[in-house]
Amino acid sequence: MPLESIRQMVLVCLMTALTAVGAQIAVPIGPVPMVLTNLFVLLAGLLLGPRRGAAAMGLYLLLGAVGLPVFANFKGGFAHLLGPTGGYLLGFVGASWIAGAVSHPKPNRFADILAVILGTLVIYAVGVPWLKAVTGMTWAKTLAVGMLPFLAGDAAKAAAAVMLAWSIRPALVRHMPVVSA
Amino acid sequence: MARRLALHYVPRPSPVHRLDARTKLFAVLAVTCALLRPAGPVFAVATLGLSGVVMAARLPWNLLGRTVRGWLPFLVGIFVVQAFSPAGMGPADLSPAPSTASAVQEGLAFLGSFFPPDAVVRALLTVWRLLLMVLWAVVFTAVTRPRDLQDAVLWLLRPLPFLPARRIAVMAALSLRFFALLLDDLEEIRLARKARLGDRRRNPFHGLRTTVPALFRKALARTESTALALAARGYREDLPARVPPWPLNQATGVCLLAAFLAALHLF
Repeated sequence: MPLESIRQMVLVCLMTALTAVGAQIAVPIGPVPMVLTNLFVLLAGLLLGPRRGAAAMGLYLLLGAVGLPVFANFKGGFAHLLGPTGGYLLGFVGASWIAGAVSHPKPNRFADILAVILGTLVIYAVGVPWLKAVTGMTWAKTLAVGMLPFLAGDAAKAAAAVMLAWSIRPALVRHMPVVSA
Repeated sequence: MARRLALHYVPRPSPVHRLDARTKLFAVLAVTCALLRPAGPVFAVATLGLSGVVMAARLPWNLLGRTVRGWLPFLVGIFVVQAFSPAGMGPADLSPAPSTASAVQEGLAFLGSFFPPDAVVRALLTVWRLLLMVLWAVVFTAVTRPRDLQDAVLWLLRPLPFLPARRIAVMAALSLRFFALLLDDLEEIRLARKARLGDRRRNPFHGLRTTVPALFRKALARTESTALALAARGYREDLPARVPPWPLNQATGVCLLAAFLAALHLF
Protein backbone atom coordinates (compact mmCIF):
# COMPACT_ATOMS: atom_id res chain seq x y z
CA MET A 1 0.00 0.00 0.00
CA PRO A 2 1.48 3.44 -0.92
CA LEU A 3 2.87 5.52 1.94
CA GLU A 4 0.55 8.41 1.12
CA SER A 5 -2.57 6.21 1.55
CA ILE A 6 -1.22 4.89 4.86
CA ARG A 7 -0.52 8.45 5.98
CA GLN A 8 -4.07 9.54 5.20
CA MET A 9 -5.50 6.48 6.94
CA VAL A 10 -3.45 7.24 10.06
CA LEU A 11 -4.58 10.87 9.97
CA VAL A 12 -8.24 9.76 9.98
CA CYS A 13 -7.50 7.54 13.01
CA LEU A 14 -5.85 10.46 14.70
CA MET A 15 -8.87 12.70 14.15
CA THR A 16 -11.06 9.95 15.61
CA ALA A 17 -8.83 9.75 18.66
CA LEU A 18 -8.75 13.55 18.99
CA THR A 19 -12.56 13.63 18.94
CA ALA A 20 -12.59 11.03 21.71
CA VAL A 21 -10.10 13.13 23.70
CA GLY A 22 -12.18 16.25 23.02
CA ALA A 23 -15.19 14.50 24.54
CA GLN A 24 -13.22 14.30 27.81
CA ILE A 25 -12.16 17.97 27.90
CA ALA A 26 -14.75 19.84 29.97
CA VAL A 27 -14.84 23.64 29.72
CA PRO A 28 -16.50 25.10 32.84
CA ILE A 29 -19.11 27.39 31.28
CA GLY A 30 -22.52 27.66 32.95
CA PRO A 31 -24.06 25.07 35.29
CA VAL A 32 -23.22 22.12 33.01
CA PRO A 33 -19.59 21.86 31.78
CA MET A 34 -19.32 21.98 28.00
CA VAL A 35 -17.48 19.15 26.25
CA LEU A 36 -15.59 19.72 23.04
CA THR A 37 -16.90 16.86 20.89
CA ASN A 38 -18.72 19.14 18.43
CA LEU A 39 -15.62 21.28 18.04
CA PHE A 40 -13.56 18.29 16.90
CA VAL A 41 -16.40 17.03 14.67
CA LEU A 42 -16.34 20.34 12.79
CA LEU A 43 -12.54 20.45 12.82
CA ALA A 44 -12.43 16.99 11.24
CA GLY A 45 -14.42 18.29 8.28
CA LEU A 46 -12.50 21.57 8.05
CA LEU A 47 -9.07 19.95 8.19
CA LEU A 48 -9.56 16.59 6.46
CA GLY A 49 -12.28 17.32 3.92
CA PRO A 50 -15.68 15.68 3.49
CA ARG A 51 -14.76 12.03 2.89
CA ARG A 52 -12.01 11.64 5.46
CA GLY A 53 -13.84 13.81 7.98
CA ALA A 54 -16.97 11.69 7.72
CA ALA A 55 -14.85 8.52 7.86
CA ALA A 56 -13.22 9.74 11.09
CA MET A 57 -16.63 10.36 12.65
CA GLY A 58 -17.99 7.02 11.42
CA LEU A 59 -15.03 5.33 13.08
CA TYR A 60 -15.66 7.32 16.27
CA LEU A 61 -19.25 6.08 16.37
CA LEU A 62 -18.10 2.52 15.67
CA LEU A 63 -15.65 2.64 18.58
CA GLY A 64 -18.36 4.06 20.85
CA ALA A 65 -20.88 1.46 19.69
CA VAL A 66 -18.57 -1.43 20.51
CA GLY A 67 -18.38 -0.16 24.07
CA LEU A 68 -15.07 1.67 24.10
CA PRO A 69 -15.24 4.70 26.42
CA VAL A 70 -14.83 7.37 23.75
CA PHE A 71 -18.01 9.36 24.42
CA ALA A 72 -18.20 12.16 27.00
CA ASN A 73 -17.05 11.29 30.55
CA PHE A 74 -15.42 8.04 29.37
CA LYS A 75 -18.75 6.48 28.44
CA GLY A 76 -19.45 4.14 25.59
CA GLY A 77 -21.80 1.46 24.38
CA PHE A 78 -24.91 1.04 22.31
CA ALA A 79 -26.98 2.94 24.86
CA HIS A 80 -25.66 6.21 23.49
CA LEU A 81 -26.49 5.34 19.90
CA LEU A 82 -29.90 3.81 20.50
CA GLY A 83 -30.92 6.16 23.32
CA PRO A 84 -32.25 9.72 23.15
CA THR A 85 -28.87 11.23 22.27
CA GLY A 86 -28.23 8.83 19.37
CA GLY A 87 -29.41 11.30 16.73
CA TYR A 88 -26.83 13.90 17.72
CA LEU A 89 -24.09 11.27 17.51
CA LEU A 90 -25.24 10.06 14.09
CA GLY A 91 -25.42 13.70 13.01
CA PHE A 92 -21.65 13.98 13.59
CA VAL A 93 -20.98 12.06 10.36
CA GLY A 94 -23.20 14.37 8.30
CA ALA A 95 -21.88 17.47 10.08
CA SER A 96 -18.28 16.59 9.38
CA TRP A 97 -19.08 15.78 5.76
CA ILE A 98 -20.97 19.01 5.14
CA ALA A 99 -18.30 21.11 6.93
CA GLY A 100 -15.64 19.51 4.74
CA ALA A 101 -17.67 19.80 1.55
CA VAL A 102 -18.30 23.52 2.08
CA SER A 103 -14.81 24.51 3.23
CA HIS A 104 -12.48 22.12 1.47
CA PRO A 105 -12.53 22.95 -2.24
CA LYS A 106 -11.24 26.46 -1.54
CA PRO A 107 -10.45 26.98 2.16
CA ASN A 108 -11.05 30.61 3.09
CA ARG A 109 -12.50 32.38 6.12
CA PHE A 110 -16.00 32.87 4.71
CA ALA A 111 -16.25 29.21 3.61
CA ASP A 112 -15.03 28.02 7.03
CA ILE A 113 -17.63 30.10 8.87
CA LEU A 114 -20.42 28.90 6.58
CA ALA A 115 -19.16 25.32 6.96
CA VAL A 116 -19.34 25.31 10.77
CA ILE A 117 -22.81 26.92 10.76
CA LEU A 118 -24.14 24.30 8.35
CA GLY A 119 -22.34 21.51 10.21
CA THR A 120 -23.88 22.53 13.53
CA LEU A 121 -27.33 22.72 11.91
CA VAL A 122 -26.91 19.20 10.53
CA ILE A 123 -26.27 17.86 14.05
CA TYR A 124 -29.52 19.44 15.24
CA ALA A 125 -31.38 18.40 12.08
CA VAL A 126 -30.68 14.74 12.90
CA GLY A 127 -30.59 14.93 16.70
CA VAL A 128 -33.79 16.86 17.45
CA PRO A 129 -36.19 14.68 15.36
CA TRP A 130 -34.51 11.58 16.84
CA LEU A 131 -35.03 12.92 20.36
CA LYS A 132 -38.67 13.67 19.51
CA ALA A 133 -39.21 10.18 18.10
CA VAL A 134 -37.64 8.45 21.11
CA THR A 135 -39.25 10.56 23.83
CA GLY A 136 -42.61 11.23 22.13
CA MET A 137 -42.55 14.89 23.22
CA THR A 138 -44.06 17.74 21.24
CA TRP A 139 -41.82 19.76 18.91
CA ALA A 140 -41.86 22.75 21.26
CA LYS A 141 -40.74 20.67 24.24
CA THR A 142 -38.16 18.77 22.20
CA LEU A 143 -36.61 22.04 21.04
CA ALA A 144 -36.68 23.35 24.62
CA VAL A 145 -34.80 20.29 25.90
CA GLY A 146 -32.63 19.33 22.96
CA MET A 147 -31.64 22.50 21.18
CA LEU A 148 -32.21 25.88 22.82
CA PRO A 149 -30.04 25.31 25.94
CA PHE A 150 -27.06 24.31 23.78
CA LEU A 151 -27.19 26.97 21.08
CA ALA A 152 -24.87 29.45 22.82
CA GLY A 153 -22.31 26.76 23.68
CA ASP A 154 -22.40 25.34 20.17
CA ALA A 155 -21.95 28.80 18.66
CA ALA A 156 -18.85 29.25 20.85
CA LYS A 157 -17.53 25.85 19.80
CA ALA A 158 -18.15 26.59 16.12
CA ALA A 159 -16.25 29.90 16.45
CA ALA A 160 -13.42 28.09 18.23
CA ALA A 161 -13.36 25.43 15.48
CA VAL A 162 -12.89 28.12 12.80
CA MET A 163 -10.10 29.84 14.73
CA LEU A 164 -8.34 26.55 15.45
CA ALA A 165 -8.65 25.49 11.81
CA TRP A 166 -6.92 28.69 10.76
CA SER A 167 -4.08 28.14 13.21
CA ILE A 168 -3.67 24.38 12.61
CA ARG A 169 -3.98 24.31 8.82
CA PRO A 170 -0.41 25.59 8.19
CA ALA A 171 1.01 22.83 10.39
CA LEU A 172 -1.14 20.26 8.59
CA VAL A 173 0.02 21.55 5.21
CA ARG A 174 3.64 21.15 6.34
CA HIS A 175 3.07 17.59 7.55
CA MET A 176 0.55 16.33 4.98
CA PRO A 177 0.66 18.36 1.76
CA VAL A 178 -1.51 15.86 -0.12
CA VAL A 179 -4.21 15.62 2.57
CA SER A 180 -4.68 19.34 2.83
CA ALA A 181 -4.44 19.99 -0.91
CA MET B 1 -5.28 9.19 32.53
CA ALA B 2 -5.19 6.35 30.03
CA ARG B 3 -5.85 3.99 32.92
CA ARG B 4 -9.44 5.21 32.83
CA LEU B 5 -9.76 3.43 29.48
CA ALA B 6 -11.23 0.35 31.16
CA LEU B 7 -13.55 -1.50 28.83
CA HIS B 8 -17.20 -1.74 29.74
CA TYR B 9 -17.23 -5.50 29.16
CA VAL B 10 -17.93 -7.53 32.31
CA PRO B 11 -16.45 -11.04 31.87
CA ARG B 12 -18.55 -13.89 33.35
CA PRO B 13 -18.88 -17.64 32.55
CA SER B 14 -22.54 -17.35 31.50
CA PRO B 15 -24.63 -18.62 28.57
CA VAL B 16 -25.53 -15.02 27.67
CA HIS B 17 -21.84 -14.15 27.29
CA ARG B 18 -21.34 -17.22 25.07
CA LEU B 19 -24.03 -16.18 22.57
CA ASP B 20 -22.84 -14.88 19.21
CA ALA B 21 -22.40 -11.08 19.17
CA ARG B 22 -24.74 -10.81 16.14
CA THR B 23 -27.49 -12.64 18.02
CA LYS B 24 -27.23 -10.20 20.93
CA LEU B 25 -26.95 -7.19 18.62
CA PHE B 26 -30.10 -8.02 16.65
CA ALA B 27 -32.00 -9.01 19.81
CA VAL B 28 -31.24 -5.62 21.40
CA LEU B 29 -32.22 -3.85 18.17
CA ALA B 30 -35.53 -5.79 18.12
CA VAL B 31 -36.30 -4.82 21.75
CA THR B 32 -35.37 -1.18 21.09
CA CYS B 33 -37.57 -1.00 18.00
CA ALA B 34 -40.45 -2.56 19.97
CA LEU B 35 -39.99 0.06 22.70
CA LEU B 36 -40.23 2.92 20.21
CA ARG B 37 -43.99 2.32 20.07
CA PRO B 38 -45.35 2.39 23.63
CA ALA B 39 -47.49 -0.62 24.55
CA GLY B 40 -48.12 -2.12 28.01
CA PRO B 41 -47.25 -5.76 27.22
CA VAL B 42 -44.00 -4.71 25.51
CA PHE B 43 -42.98 -2.71 28.61
CA ALA B 44 -43.69 -5.71 30.84
CA VAL B 45 -41.81 -8.17 28.62
CA ALA B 46 -38.86 -5.79 28.19
CA THR B 47 -38.62 -5.15 31.96
CA LEU B 48 -38.93 -8.81 32.95
CA GLY B 49 -36.61 -9.84 30.12
CA LEU B 50 -33.99 -7.34 31.27
CA SER B 51 -34.08 -8.68 34.83
CA GLY B 52 -33.85 -12.24 33.51
CA VAL B 53 -30.87 -11.46 31.28
CA VAL B 54 -29.01 -9.63 34.08
CA MET B 55 -29.48 -12.64 36.38
CA ALA B 56 -28.60 -15.18 33.68
CA ALA B 57 -25.47 -13.20 32.76
CA ARG B 58 -24.54 -12.86 36.49
CA LEU B 59 -24.01 -9.14 36.02
CA PRO B 60 -23.75 -6.96 39.12
CA TRP B 61 -26.95 -4.99 39.76
CA ASN B 62 -24.89 -1.91 40.59
CA LEU B 63 -23.90 -1.80 36.91
CA LEU B 64 -27.51 -0.82 36.18
CA GLY B 65 -27.53 1.51 39.20
CA ARG B 66 -24.44 3.34 37.96
CA THR B 67 -26.01 3.72 34.53
CA VAL B 68 -29.23 5.10 35.98
CA ARG B 69 -27.20 7.60 38.04
CA GLY B 70 -25.31 8.74 34.94
CA TRP B 71 -28.48 9.29 32.91
CA LEU B 72 -30.49 10.71 35.83
CA PRO B 73 -30.09 14.46 35.05
CA PHE B 74 -31.19 13.92 31.47
CA LEU B 75 -34.14 11.70 32.47
CA VAL B 76 -35.27 14.17 35.14
CA GLY B 77 -35.16 16.94 32.53
CA ILE B 78 -37.25 14.88 30.12
CA PHE B 79 -39.73 14.03 32.91
CA VAL B 80 -40.16 17.65 34.03
CA VAL B 81 -40.60 18.97 30.50
CA GLN B 82 -42.98 16.15 29.55
CA ALA B 83 -45.08 16.40 32.75
CA PHE B 84 -45.22 20.21 32.85
CA SER B 85 -48.42 21.40 31.23
CA PRO B 86 -49.01 25.17 31.03
CA ALA B 87 -52.61 24.38 29.96
CA GLY B 88 -53.27 23.36 33.57
CA MET B 89 -52.62 26.92 34.78
CA GLY B 90 -56.14 28.17 33.92
CA PRO B 91 -58.40 29.82 36.51
CA ALA B 92 -60.45 26.65 37.00
CA ASP B 93 -57.35 24.75 38.04
CA LEU B 94 -56.23 27.44 40.46
CA SER B 95 -59.46 27.53 42.46
CA PRO B 96 -58.80 28.03 46.18
CA ALA B 97 -58.54 24.94 48.36
CA PRO B 98 -61.11 24.40 51.18
CA SER B 99 -60.32 26.39 54.28
CA THR B 100 -59.73 23.20 56.35
CA ALA B 101 -57.10 21.93 53.96
CA SER B 102 -53.56 22.00 55.22
CA ALA B 103 -50.73 23.95 53.62
CA VAL B 104 -49.34 20.70 52.25
CA GLN B 105 -52.62 19.94 50.49
CA GLU B 106 -52.68 23.45 49.10
CA GLY B 107 -49.16 23.02 47.88
CA LEU B 108 -50.01 19.71 46.25
CA ALA B 109 -53.06 21.24 44.60
CA PHE B 110 -50.92 24.09 43.33
CA LEU B 111 -48.34 21.63 41.95
CA GLY B 112 -51.11 19.51 40.48
CA SER B 113 -52.30 22.49 38.48
CA PHE B 114 -48.90 22.61 36.75
CA PHE B 115 -48.42 18.85 36.53
CA PRO B 116 -51.77 17.22 35.66
CA PRO B 117 -51.93 13.49 36.58
CA ASP B 118 -52.31 12.25 33.00
CA ALA B 119 -49.25 14.24 31.87
CA VAL B 120 -47.26 12.89 34.84
CA VAL B 121 -48.22 9.30 33.96
CA ARG B 122 -47.26 9.90 30.34
CA ALA B 123 -43.92 11.38 31.41
CA LEU B 124 -43.24 8.44 33.73
CA LEU B 125 -43.91 6.00 30.88
CA THR B 126 -41.55 7.94 28.61
CA VAL B 127 -38.77 7.89 31.22
CA TRP B 128 -39.33 4.17 31.86
CA ARG B 129 -39.17 3.49 28.12
CA LEU B 130 -35.94 5.48 27.71
CA LEU B 131 -34.43 3.78 30.73
CA LEU B 132 -35.26 0.35 29.34
CA MET B 133 -33.67 1.22 25.99
CA VAL B 134 -30.51 2.46 27.69
CA LEU B 135 -30.27 -0.47 30.12
CA TRP B 136 -30.73 -3.10 27.39
CA ALA B 137 -27.90 -1.48 25.46
CA VAL B 138 -25.72 -1.34 28.60
CA VAL B 139 -26.32 -5.03 29.27
CA PHE B 140 -25.47 -5.80 25.66
CA THR B 141 -22.13 -3.99 25.96
CA ALA B 142 -21.43 -5.69 29.29
CA VAL B 143 -21.91 -9.22 27.90
CA THR B 144 -20.15 -8.77 24.53
CA ARG B 145 -16.41 -8.60 24.12
CA PRO B 146 -15.31 -5.59 22.00
CA ARG B 147 -13.44 -7.93 19.68
CA ASP B 148 -16.60 -10.02 19.06
CA LEU B 149 -18.64 -6.90 18.41
CA GLN B 150 -15.97 -5.62 16.06
CA ASP B 151 -16.26 -8.91 14.15
CA ALA B 152 -20.05 -8.53 14.08
CA VAL B 153 -19.73 -5.01 12.66
CA LEU B 154 -17.25 -6.28 10.05
CA TRP B 155 -19.75 -9.03 9.16
CA LEU B 156 -22.43 -6.40 8.71
CA LEU B 157 -20.17 -4.17 6.59
CA ARG B 158 -18.70 -6.96 4.44
CA PRO B 159 -21.45 -6.93 1.78
CA LEU B 160 -20.74 -3.23 1.14
CA PRO B 161 -17.99 -3.18 -1.50
CA PHE B 162 -16.83 0.39 -0.78
CA LEU B 163 -16.10 -0.33 2.90
CA PRO B 164 -12.85 -2.33 3.28
CA ALA B 165 -13.40 -4.51 6.36
CA ARG B 166 -9.71 -5.11 7.11
CA ARG B 167 -8.87 -1.42 6.92
CA ILE B 168 -11.71 -0.60 9.33
CA ALA B 169 -10.42 -3.19 11.80
CA VAL B 170 -6.87 -1.76 11.63
CA MET B 171 -8.14 1.80 11.93
CA ALA B 172 -10.22 0.94 14.98
CA ALA B 173 -7.15 -0.56 16.67
CA LEU B 174 -4.98 2.43 15.71
CA SER B 175 -7.56 4.95 16.95
CA LEU B 176 -7.77 3.25 20.30
CA ARG B 177 -3.98 3.28 20.61
CA PHE B 178 -3.90 6.99 19.71
CA PHE B 179 -6.67 7.72 22.18
CA ALA B 180 -4.63 6.35 25.08
CA LEU B 181 -1.47 8.20 23.91
CA LEU B 182 -3.28 11.49 23.35
CA LEU B 183 -4.86 11.33 26.80
CA ASP B 184 -1.36 11.17 28.24
CA ASP B 185 -0.29 14.04 25.97
CA LEU B 186 -3.25 16.07 27.17
CA GLU B 187 -2.29 15.47 30.78
CA GLU B 188 1.28 16.54 29.99
CA ILE B 189 0.03 19.76 28.34
CA ARG B 190 -2.25 20.45 31.31
CA LEU B 191 0.65 20.05 33.75
CA ALA B 192 2.89 22.28 31.61
CA ARG B 193 0.15 24.93 31.53
CA LYS B 194 -0.26 24.67 35.29
CA ALA B 195 3.48 25.04 35.80
CA ARG B 196 3.31 28.32 33.86
CA LEU B 197 0.34 29.43 36.03
CA GLY B 198 -1.90 29.27 32.96
CA ASP B 199 -4.66 27.65 35.01
CA ARG B 200 -5.12 30.89 36.99
CA ARG B 201 -6.64 32.67 34.01
CA ARG B 202 -10.40 32.58 34.28
CA ASN B 203 -11.18 32.79 30.55
CA PRO B 204 -11.91 29.19 29.43
CA PHE B 205 -11.21 30.08 25.78
CA HIS B 206 -7.65 31.01 26.67
CA GLY B 207 -7.23 27.48 27.98
CA LEU B 208 -8.60 26.10 24.73
CA ARG B 209 -6.26 28.25 22.68
CA THR B 210 -3.21 26.99 24.53
CA THR B 211 -4.28 23.34 24.84
CA VAL B 212 -5.82 22.27 21.53
CA PRO B 213 -3.13 23.50 19.08
CA ALA B 214 -0.41 21.96 21.28
CA LEU B 215 -2.33 18.68 21.30
CA PHE B 216 -2.66 18.82 17.51
CA ARG B 217 1.04 19.41 17.00
CA LYS B 218 1.92 16.44 19.17
CA ALA B 219 -0.68 14.34 17.34
CA LEU B 220 0.63 15.30 13.90
CA ALA B 221 4.13 14.23 14.87
CA ARG B 222 2.71 10.84 15.86
CA THR B 223 0.93 10.51 12.50
CA GLU B 224 4.13 10.67 10.55
CA SER B 225 6.02 8.18 12.71
CA THR B 226 3.09 5.72 12.76
CA ALA B 227 2.59 5.91 8.98
CA LEU B 228 6.29 5.26 8.39
CA ALA B 229 6.26 2.37 10.86
CA LEU B 230 3.25 0.76 9.14
CA ALA B 231 4.85 1.17 5.71
CA ALA B 232 8.17 -0.23 6.97
CA ARG B 233 6.38 -3.33 8.27
CA GLY B 234 4.77 -3.92 4.85
CA TYR B 235 1.16 -3.14 5.78
CA ARG B 236 -1.22 -4.62 3.18
CA GLU B 237 -4.99 -4.79 2.84
CA ASP B 238 -5.52 -7.64 0.41
CA LEU B 239 -5.64 -10.26 3.18
CA PRO B 240 -9.24 -11.38 3.86
CA ALA B 241 -10.88 -10.53 7.20
CA ARG B 242 -12.03 -13.79 8.82
CA VAL B 243 -15.37 -13.64 10.63
CA PRO B 244 -16.98 -16.91 11.90
CA PRO B 245 -20.45 -17.74 10.45
CA TRP B 246 -23.58 -16.84 12.43
CA PRO B 247 -25.05 -20.02 14.04
CA LEU B 248 -28.37 -20.83 12.34
CA ASN B 249 -30.24 -21.71 15.55
CA GLN B 250 -29.35 -18.34 17.07
CA ALA B 251 -30.44 -16.48 13.94
CA THR B 252 -33.77 -18.32 14.09
CA GLY B 253 -34.11 -17.40 17.77
CA VAL B 254 -33.67 -13.70 16.99
CA CYS B 255 -36.31 -13.91 14.23
CA LEU B 256 -38.73 -15.56 16.69
CA LEU B 257 -38.06 -12.85 19.27
CA ALA B 258 -38.73 -10.11 16.71
CA ALA B 259 -41.97 -11.84 15.65
CA PHE B 260 -43.03 -12.21 19.32
CA LEU B 261 -42.41 -8.51 20.02
CA ALA B 262 -44.32 -7.52 16.88
CA ALA B 263 -47.21 -9.76 17.97
CA LEU B 264 -47.31 -8.00 21.37
CA HIS B 265 -48.08 -4.75 19.57
CA LEU B 266 -51.04 -6.38 17.81
CA PHE B 267 -52.71 -7.75 20.95
